[in-house]
Amino acid sequence: MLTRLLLGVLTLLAILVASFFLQRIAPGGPFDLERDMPEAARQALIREWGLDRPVPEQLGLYLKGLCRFPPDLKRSMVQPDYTVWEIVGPRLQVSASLGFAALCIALVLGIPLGVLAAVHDGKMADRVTMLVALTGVAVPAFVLGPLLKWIFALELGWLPESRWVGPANMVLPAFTLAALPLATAARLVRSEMGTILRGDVVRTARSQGLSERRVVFVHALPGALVPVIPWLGPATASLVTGSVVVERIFDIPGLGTTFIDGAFNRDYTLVMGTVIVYSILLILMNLLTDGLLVLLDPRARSARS
Amino acid sequence: MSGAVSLPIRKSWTLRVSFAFLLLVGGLALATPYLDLADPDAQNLELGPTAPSTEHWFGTDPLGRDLLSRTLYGARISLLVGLVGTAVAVGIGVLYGMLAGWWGGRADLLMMRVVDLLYGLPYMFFVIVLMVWFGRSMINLFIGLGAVSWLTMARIVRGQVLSLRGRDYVLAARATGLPTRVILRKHILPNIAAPVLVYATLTVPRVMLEEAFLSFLGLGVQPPAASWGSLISEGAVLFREYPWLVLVPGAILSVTLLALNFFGDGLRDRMAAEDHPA
Repeated sequence: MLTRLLLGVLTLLAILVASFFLQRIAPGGPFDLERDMPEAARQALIREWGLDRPVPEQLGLYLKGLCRFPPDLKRSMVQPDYTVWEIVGPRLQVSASLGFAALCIALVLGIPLGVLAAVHDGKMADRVTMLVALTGVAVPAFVLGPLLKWIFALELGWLPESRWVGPANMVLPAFTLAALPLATAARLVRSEMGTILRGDVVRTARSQGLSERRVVFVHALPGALVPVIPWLGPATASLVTGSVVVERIFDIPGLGTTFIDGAFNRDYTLVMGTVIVYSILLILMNLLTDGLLVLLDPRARSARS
Repeated sequence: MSGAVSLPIRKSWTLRVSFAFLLLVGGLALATPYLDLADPDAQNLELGPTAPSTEHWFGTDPLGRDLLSRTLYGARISLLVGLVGTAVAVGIGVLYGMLAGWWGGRADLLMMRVVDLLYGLPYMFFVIVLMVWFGRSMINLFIGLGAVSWLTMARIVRGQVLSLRGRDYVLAARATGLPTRVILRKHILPNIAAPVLVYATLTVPRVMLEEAFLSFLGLGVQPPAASWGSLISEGAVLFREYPWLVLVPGAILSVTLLALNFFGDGLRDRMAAEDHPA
């Protein structure tokens, strides 16, 4: 576990260094967009932010700030009235609740769908379930989002169309975001469950005269969940990516929009702040899934020790 | 975008239907300039947005441009990006995977660890940054999408090479003192070509989806050129008034992605069946 943690910190550092150098070698800078700014003022700003110093030195200073407690993410270069954390913090809250809701929907609906399909292997229920799952994979969020909005907000008027003011506003974006992970979870569970249902564990359980329900849920299901757990890491990554689109469709003030706006404005400190928050989130998620896997799958324990 | 999970395909009719559909789309895309279509960029502001009709099968957009023509020209760009991006991804993935599998041991462990790590990152952010900071050109689009889509390919190739490198004919080639480069090219590459092609087929829809994602954000294909993704993006703003502007290209993109996935999965299942006859 300790090596994993160390690896996580190393990954974070690598991402930091890479993004830092990437933005510094890119043409253009944060103060190019304001055309009216006199050249002298621009130079003064560049000096103030230390952008005229060698890049490794800038990186060193930035990392030094991060090592403080609480970590210093600096001020936004383009909106200097705010610190990066003041911009990122509230938006992280929005994105995290949206992402968490979507992940919950995906697991709560996706896993039973996969089980249903595997139990009714090849029959109607299997076909219908997998058709639903396939739609989730094939219809991208930027098509599904407007479609859901059209049906449930504009035609039926059941749910608010966009923005982020109450729980009802969360429903459509969360389902849009959940479609892809839901489909993937269902397919993962279906394929693993199918293998397990034909395997020794289930044959033994059945031979003991246990009820089919007990066989499926007590003996087969834990095993079928094993591939779902390592998938949670990449799934979080894809939720993060997907939320960029969903935020735009539903007009949500989330972290993805912050990142893109920051990138467009060359707001280096804001981009770095967003990257750091995302990376920590993903590394934590990967550590968590590793831990869960060890708890749930005895095979992983011996393989890792 | 992550995790390759096999679709439930049993009968090969899905393979045939999807192949036929892809032939149709590909053929139309190739033939588009020779078809008697409206100019995709010709504006007709007096006409404005119209719903699908006999005159304009897919309707027109707010500038009065014919959506059928724009969708077909869009197919050319979407497919081109999908294919070139995949080619870049295959190039990187095959090279990386071959070297990892060939070297084995610590180098392999390290290289695959890097792949594992990259899997967990939202790599589209890298492409977003690339497009914003280094210019929204087609070249950057190809490189960016290719550079983030090679991971699964590398894993597959590495696994194949790992199992091939101990074969007698490879050992024999090594014993004769052939340079590694030649062994990899002449003896390993031809033997991994089939799985590489199959997974390349599955990479195409992923790259196309990623292109559409970028274009939706305004970071992909730039106007006046339009891909399916940018058509959807243009339409999404006006979805309330003119839903067909999203629904038509959206449906076509979805069905094409579905067909590509079915086709790739069908090929994979067939290959697996040949490897292990039941």
